[in-house]
Amino acid sequence: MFNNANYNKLVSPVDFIIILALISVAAGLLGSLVGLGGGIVIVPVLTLIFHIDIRLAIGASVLSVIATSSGAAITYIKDGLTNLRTGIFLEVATTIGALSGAFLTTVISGNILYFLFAIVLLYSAFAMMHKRKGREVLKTSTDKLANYLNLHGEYYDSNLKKTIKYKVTHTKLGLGLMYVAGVVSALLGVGSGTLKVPAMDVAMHMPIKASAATSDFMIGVTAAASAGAYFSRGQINPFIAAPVVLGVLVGAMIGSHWLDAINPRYVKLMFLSVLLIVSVEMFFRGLA
Amino acid sequence: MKKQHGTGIEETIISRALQIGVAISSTLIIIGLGIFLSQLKTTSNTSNQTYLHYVSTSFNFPHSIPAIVSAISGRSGLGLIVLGCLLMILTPALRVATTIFLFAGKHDKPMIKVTITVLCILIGSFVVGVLVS
Repeated sequence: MFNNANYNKLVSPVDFIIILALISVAAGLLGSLVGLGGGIVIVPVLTLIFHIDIRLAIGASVLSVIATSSGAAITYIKDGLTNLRTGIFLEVATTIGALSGAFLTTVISGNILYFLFAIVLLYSAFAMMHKRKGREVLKTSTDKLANYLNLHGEYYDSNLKKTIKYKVTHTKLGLGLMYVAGVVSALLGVGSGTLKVPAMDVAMHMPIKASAATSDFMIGVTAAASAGAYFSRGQINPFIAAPVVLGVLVGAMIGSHWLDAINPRYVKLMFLSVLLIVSVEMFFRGLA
Repeated sequence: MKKQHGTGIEETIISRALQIGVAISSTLIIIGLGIFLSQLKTTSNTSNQTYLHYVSTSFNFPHSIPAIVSAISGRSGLGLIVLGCLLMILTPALRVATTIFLFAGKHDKPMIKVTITVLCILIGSFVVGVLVS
């Protein structure tokens, strides 16, 4: 399906920038509509269609993750859903994880990165279709760290028309899971929100809305840790990064305006088929 | 600024810092891309150049501060894009730095320490990148 290496020799630099920018707009648009972020399809596009080294693809993708996260966090912070204290606290783990991941890309082979990517794509497809069920909020917490740093929070639920107060627990488990999320984010150049949200709502008992908003707030900081390492290592190629970052950013901006006007179910089904096909392609590229 | 549902003015400041960071870096990338494309038209006499030349792992581009400065002073479009990318990476660090002042205003020492730790890791990431390359 993607064996077009000979045709690629005919693509001029200008054509490449225009095609990649348009694909990135679509990726950012779809990503924001289904809540996955555009990063998840950028690496497959760059590697499978344009035959770019997976490490350079990851560098460009991680930059687009920062761009969209910084855009998305603006609306969420204004909604008052983000638990800033918990977010910053967990970022200690995600950023250390991201540095570990940035180091790991230098020692593990490209084939393993393709396999890992295929697995994360499948998991993301599952997470996108699976509706998360909220857990009962905790009224008290015996977690010493959570109490010491006062990580507990509250937000106004516009559906229930009341303020929800909640306590945070299992901070050490949360830190451990966030470390893994940081490693995955750096290794594959994705936001790994699908790993961050369960670390907060399942492990730490945070309400779903607060977990999702806090995850979006954290994604940019996590990505910045690996992007810093990738940048200084010369893995962020400006020729690739420019159309990707601008395209994904424009797509995400359009997506946020369309969010209410479009039936998310059809978009999700369409994105699901894209994720599954790409996952299989990435798996076979890993075998090659 | 109107305070609503527990959202304080300081959080609006953080949002604003992010918006400005993204806006400045995107603008630099757009201008840099424009310059790069115009330079491409005037210099690409060798019509055999495909995009593959620019995306190969052996393609050289600036990725350190002195190299960026010298690229931009040489009116390189790619140099400007790299500067935009660097600012984009620094935007979340700016967010974290702003948060330190937010906690300092509340005299919240434990959270100040946590936030400074995150900032140090972010700054350290550039050093780690150089060390493992």
